[in-house]
This record gives sequence, C-alpha cells and structure tokens, in this order.
Amino acid sequence: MKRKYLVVFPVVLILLTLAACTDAYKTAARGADTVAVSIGEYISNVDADTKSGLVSTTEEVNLIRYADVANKLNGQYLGCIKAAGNANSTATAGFIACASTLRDGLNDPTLLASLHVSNPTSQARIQLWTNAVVTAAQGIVTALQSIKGGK
Amino acid sequence: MDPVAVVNAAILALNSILKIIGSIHASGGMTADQIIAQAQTQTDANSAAIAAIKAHLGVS
Repeated sequence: MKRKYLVVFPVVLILLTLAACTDAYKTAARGADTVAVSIGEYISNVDADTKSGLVSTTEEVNLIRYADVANKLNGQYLGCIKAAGNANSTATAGFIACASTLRDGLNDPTLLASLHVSNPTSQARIQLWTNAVVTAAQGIVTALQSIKGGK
Repeated sequence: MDPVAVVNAAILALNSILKIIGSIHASGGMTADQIIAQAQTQTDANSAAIAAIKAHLGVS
C-alpha cells in the first residue's frame, strides 16, 4: 500500500505542476527538465542498487540501456521543442507532437519488458522511477492539451 | 520483505522526489530558454553517467 502512495504522489505532483503553467513553450521546457531529473534519479538508483548487490550485472545492462534510450529521446525532445518554439512559441500543436513522440518512445513495450530485477525491493524502486519518467512525459502532453487558446 | 529495507527504499524514493520538486520550483521564475538550458545540462550529466556505467560494464 505504501508503495502505491510513493508512485501516485510524484505522478499527481508532476501533472499538477505542469498543468499550472499556461505558457506552452515554458510547459514543454519544464517537462523536459522534469524528465531529465527523473532519468538522473533512475540512474542513481540503479547505480546504488548494483553497488549494494541488489541488482546483478546482467540486470544492470538492461536497466542502463533503458536510461540511455530515455535520455536520448529526451535530448531529441529538447531539439524538437526548440524548433517548435522558434517556429511559433504560442501554438501548442508543435509541442504536443514533440511530447507525444517522447511519451511513445518511453512507453515502448519491448523496452519496458526488459526492466526486470529479481530483488523485489530494487524492482519496486526501479518501477517507481520508470513510472515517474513515463508519467512526466504523459504529463507534458496532458498539460499542453489543457492550455487555453492552444492551437 | 525486510521492514528496514522497505523504509530505506521509501526514504530514498522520497529524497529523489524532493529533488524533482526542488528542480520544478527553482525553474518557476526562469524563461523557457533558461529551463531548456537547465534540462540540457541535466541531460548531458545523464549521458556522462550512462557512459561511465557502460564503460564499467564493458558494453557499448
């Protein structure tokens, strides 16, 4: 039960924070920063759990591969929103297209299926941060769609 | 499951969440371009951390 609260709390927080922002470009940028920080925390958790023996080397390879893909996708998202911002920083459509690509990439079922850790404590933590990363990306899309006057 | 491990996991998770809250809060007065620059810095730091772990694991 406690674990469920740990997952729900950051999810609600990220959605509320992004939804409170009414500037499309700023919302898109803040989302990229949230995803980047979440990936950083995910990497720290994987590293700590590997050093303490909770994650095996084989498992770490898959976990780091996800971080690598997620980080590259977020880098591409940053480039995408910069281009959209230069084209028209008030229209939401361009930013939504960028965020949808990021969200779909992070949600890749094949990639997510590889994130298995045999230790339940570590598995719960990895799942928490994977959820945070994916939810942040979905939060960007939701927040952008909710901005009034968006095109 | 060991209750100490559960508590430790919860503390670690909450600490991490607080870092994210801090990051979002800190970006409140920034322009979009400044937030993008901050996100790029974090993304570059993530890339460096991933590269170091990959090198340690011997994977490309």
